Amino acid sequence: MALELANRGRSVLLVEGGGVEGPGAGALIYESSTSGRSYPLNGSRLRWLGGTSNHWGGWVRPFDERDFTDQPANGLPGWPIALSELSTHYDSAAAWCEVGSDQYGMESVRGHEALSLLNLSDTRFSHRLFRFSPPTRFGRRYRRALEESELIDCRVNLNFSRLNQTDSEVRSAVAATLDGRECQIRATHFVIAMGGVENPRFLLNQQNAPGNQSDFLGRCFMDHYGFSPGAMMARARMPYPRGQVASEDVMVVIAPDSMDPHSCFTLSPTRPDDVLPPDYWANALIADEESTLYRLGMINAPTPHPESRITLTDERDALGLQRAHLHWHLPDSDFDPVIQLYQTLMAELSGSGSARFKWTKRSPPAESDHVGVGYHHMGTTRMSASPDTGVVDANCRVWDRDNLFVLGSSVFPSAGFANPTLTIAALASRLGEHLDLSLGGEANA
Amino acid sequence: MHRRLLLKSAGMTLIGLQTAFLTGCDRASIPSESEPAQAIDLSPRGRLEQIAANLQGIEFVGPACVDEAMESDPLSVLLDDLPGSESRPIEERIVEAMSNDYANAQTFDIDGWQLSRSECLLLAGAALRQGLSEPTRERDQDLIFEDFIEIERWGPDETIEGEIFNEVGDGRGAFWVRVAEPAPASTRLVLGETMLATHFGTGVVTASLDPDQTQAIISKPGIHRVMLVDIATNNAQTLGHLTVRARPPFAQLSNGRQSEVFCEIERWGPDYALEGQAFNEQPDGSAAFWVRIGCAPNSAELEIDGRRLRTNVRTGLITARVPFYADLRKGDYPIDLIDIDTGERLQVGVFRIL
Repeated sequence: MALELANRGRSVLLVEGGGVEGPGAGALIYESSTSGRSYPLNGSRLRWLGGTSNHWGGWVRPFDERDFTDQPANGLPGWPIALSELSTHYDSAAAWCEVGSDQYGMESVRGHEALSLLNLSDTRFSHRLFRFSPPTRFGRRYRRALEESELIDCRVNLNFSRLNQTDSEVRSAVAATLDGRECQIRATHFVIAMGGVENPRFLLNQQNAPGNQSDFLGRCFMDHYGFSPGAMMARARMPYPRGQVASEDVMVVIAPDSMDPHSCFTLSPTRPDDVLPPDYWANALIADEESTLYRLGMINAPTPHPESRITLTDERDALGLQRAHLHWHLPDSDFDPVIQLYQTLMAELSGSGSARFKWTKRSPPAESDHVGVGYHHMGTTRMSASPDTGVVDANCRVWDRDNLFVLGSSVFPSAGFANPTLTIAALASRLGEHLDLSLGGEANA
Repeated sequence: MHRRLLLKSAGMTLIGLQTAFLTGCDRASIPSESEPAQAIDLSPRGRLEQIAANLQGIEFVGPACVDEAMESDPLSVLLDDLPGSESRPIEERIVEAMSNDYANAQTFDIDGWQLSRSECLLLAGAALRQGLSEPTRERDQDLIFEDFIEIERWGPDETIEGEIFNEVGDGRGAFWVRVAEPAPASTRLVLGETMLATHFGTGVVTASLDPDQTQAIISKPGIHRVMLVDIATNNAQTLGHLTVRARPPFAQLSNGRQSEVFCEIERWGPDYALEGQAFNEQPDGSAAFWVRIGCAPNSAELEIDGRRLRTNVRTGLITARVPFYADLRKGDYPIDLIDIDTGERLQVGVFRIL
């Protein structure tokens, strides 16, 4: 977003708490505690220039139209903006993320490869594409651009610690180094882009915490959670895994058209099963073709739960800020529709003769069991159409501060199965445009 | 649940205990090519018999379907239930029946595989036709298949040929069943046709098989039904199946010899991590490796760069925690599996700290 603003002729002070290539002495700033379902909170955050893009896997996909629904989930409203609000910004995001194409339709898979996929025409499922960034390590990739820009002043190892604010705006911010030196920062607009845990933690640490007028600050923490319900015997060598489609770096997944949850199934070849071996699929009556056993994984759309939240502990870090505590609330009831979705997939694809399914996991994992996550920290400063149900408005502005904005997946009020990075970048592009316009800039043609 | 509904709808609650599985049976009932050609029976029953005789890949699933279908002549039942007129090709009618079954949740669960009722009847008929299982035979006392204990989990449900499942000493393989409520003291665990010595603890029922019987079970690939029987009431409750999988190929060691204890490694991970970060972070905050491997002895331990890790060996999976992950600096670290008993060393791969 700093580069977007600089490209529009705006001056930006970019303050990075960590170093250029590593966290430096600030590694312990992120130390935090958890309760509820086990969550690898410390391992999922990186504190240096580029943030968690430094361990990003590169998966890219925009949210679908249905993800931007304003229909309530768990009684909480969804997005106050439609997909169309982000369409042009997704193009910009694809460029920043160095994705070769902005096409996510199945037309990218053609000919024999398309025909090799499962025929889903008579089912309530369809194919979707993930694309891949190199992946772009934003700090490393854009460091030179940041250094060379005359409009960007990038400071590292400098930490926002305090906002000086009135009831309606931020007047200045105090930034500090770990060795105790402080400076005061004045700006017309302040954007907090610290990540899905640090965004609420920083705001909760302020007196008269901004955006907490309805007690949603830090609440509704979400992540894509995994579930591996079983395996599928079907036609051999179907080009689902990444790298199987010639000339396109894509991965094909299966997702429901309209059923909830908006999760997806990933398919990866695995060893044949003794009980139903490949010979079985070769029987003329069954399929009369060579088969592969595919392990099925699910990337699941999370449900916002207010009790899933970031709070502050009494312990303070080196900057004097209270540390974060995550209570991850992922109840068994969130897995019930996930399991039902698998049952539907099994019934419809088995019924059409396209596959046979093995069902190995039929109940939610025990509270003490490991649940795979995406390291996608979402929802803790949720965007809303009303200050009664969120922290920021449709422009990412904190509801009760005129010049304070929050950027990142913490503003997502809901999410489908798509990874958040491209949408974060699109929101950054959109916020850059919004700030430029609010400063008197002209809209792009 | 589906099975229970199906049984009730078919009016069957009393059935006989039957042979779970016979491996190594010859297919004497299949005419050899040298036998004189016989007239081809083109009747629906004849065609169904031909299809059943030629079905491949049913060595495990066929006998299990015999167990589940609980019909003495499953092909007759299938034939009676097929949709459409007899003038249509029987293959079409079977496919339609299978499709209808899936739409109506009329499925059987065979070691997790969700097979349509019609499909399972066909496989059961095929198994009988091919001599893969003995016909159902009645026992002195009929069993009443009705759930009588709420089961939370049970195991193990698989092992590898020659490998004692959940060994409890003296060569005995053992099962555990976590129950939500105390089980009647008259409950026994039955594996195939064998009643096991059964013990009761708080929330758990355990049962073990004597060494000879354990060896008989694991000596060859097969699938064996596991159930609980209340010998006081004759109530029976199927838990599932113990699958004895064929032993995967043994791994090749770095000296070119074939391993005597390790099978080939399927995959492992993670293979890289960032300096200072807990990779594959565990609930206690430590890092951990996992190795999917066809077989490994319980005496196997994982090493990273010569440092032994506390290792957990399960069927098909080895895991090991790395408490000192934060001390690992940027660079490459060899990962090896060592068998403490034989001293064999198998290279797993190279782990890179970025």
